[in-house]
Amino acid sequence: VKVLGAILLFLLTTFVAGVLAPLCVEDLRELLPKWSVCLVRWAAQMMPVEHQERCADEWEAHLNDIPGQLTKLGWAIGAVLGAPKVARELRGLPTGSMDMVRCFLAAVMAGALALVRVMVRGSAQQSTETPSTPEGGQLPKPAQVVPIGQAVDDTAVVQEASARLARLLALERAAEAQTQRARAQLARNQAITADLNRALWGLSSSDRLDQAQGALDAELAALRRLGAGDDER
Amino acid sequence: MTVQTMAVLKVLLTKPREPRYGLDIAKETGLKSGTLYPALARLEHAGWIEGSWEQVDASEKGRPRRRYYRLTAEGAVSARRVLEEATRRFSLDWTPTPGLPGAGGLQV
Repeated sequence: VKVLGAILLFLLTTFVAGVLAPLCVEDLRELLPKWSVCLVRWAAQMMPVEHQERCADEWEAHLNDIPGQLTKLGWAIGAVLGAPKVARELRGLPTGSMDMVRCFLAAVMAGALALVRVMVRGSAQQSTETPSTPEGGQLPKPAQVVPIGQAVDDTAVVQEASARLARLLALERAAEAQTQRARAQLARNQAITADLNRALWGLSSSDRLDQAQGALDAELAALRRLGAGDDER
Repeated sequence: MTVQTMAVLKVLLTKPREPRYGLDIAKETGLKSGTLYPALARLEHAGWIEGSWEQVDASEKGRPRRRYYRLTAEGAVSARRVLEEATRRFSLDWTPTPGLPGAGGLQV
C-alpha cells in the first residue's frame, strides 16, 4: 500500500509539474499584462477629471516600456497605491502626512480664533451699548468737564502728535519715492522681458535656445555686476 | 520649487531640443512616477514645458503612444535661471567652517 501510495503521489506530482504548471504559467503570462493595464486605468480614474485620460494613456505607455511581467504588475500596484497622493498633488492639496496634520491644526486654530473673536466682539458690543429711553430714543451723552490745568497737558499732547504726524508724513514721502523707483525698475525689466520674448519668438525654433542662452548669460552677468555693486555698497 | 522639479528641469535642459518621455526622465532623475508625473503636469500647466503625443498608430506600432516633453523657449530661459540661482545660492551658503581643515559647515 505504501509503495502504491508513493507511486500515485509521484504520478500526481509529475502531472501537476508537467501539465498543469505550464498551463498556469501560460495563463498567467496572458493575464498579467491585462491585470496591469486594468490596475493602471483604475489608478488613472482616481485622478481629477481633466487629467484622467492623459494619465491613463501616459501611464499605459510607461507600463509598456517596463521590462518583465511581474515588474509591470508591481509598478501597476504601486500606481494604484500612490494614486491618492498623486491626485492630491494634481488638485494642489497637501500630500505629506505632516502637511495634513499641519492643515488640520491650522484649521482647528483658525476655528478657535474665530470663536474667540466672535465672543470678544459680542461682549464688547454689550459693554458699549448706549442706554436708551423707554420710547426707543437714545439718551444724550453727559457733558465732559475738563479741568483748567488739563488744557496745558492737552497742548503738549497735540504738539507731540503733530511732530509724530510730521515724521510719519516724511516716512510716507520716502516710501512713495522708493515705490516709484521700484515701479520704474519693474517697467524696465518688463520691457526687457518683452523684447527678449519678441526676439525669441521671432527666431526659428533651432536658434531660439541659443539666443535665449546668450540673453540669459548677459542678464546673469548684469545681475552679478549689480550684486557685486550691492556688496561693495 | 522643489529639488525634484529642478532635477526634471536639469534633465530636460541637457538636451533641450530632444523631446523626452516619462520613463526616460524617470530613469535619469531616479524619481518615482508618483513624483515625476505631477511635476511634469505642474511644469506643463505653468508653460515651462510642452507635452505632445507621439504621432504613431498604436495598433501598428504594437504599443501605446508616448507623451513627449520638451522645454519651451520661455521655460528654457526660466529653467536655466532657476538652476543658476540654486547653484549660486548653494555655493554661497555652503562654505567650509573656518579653523577645521577639510571639514564643511553651513554658514548662516
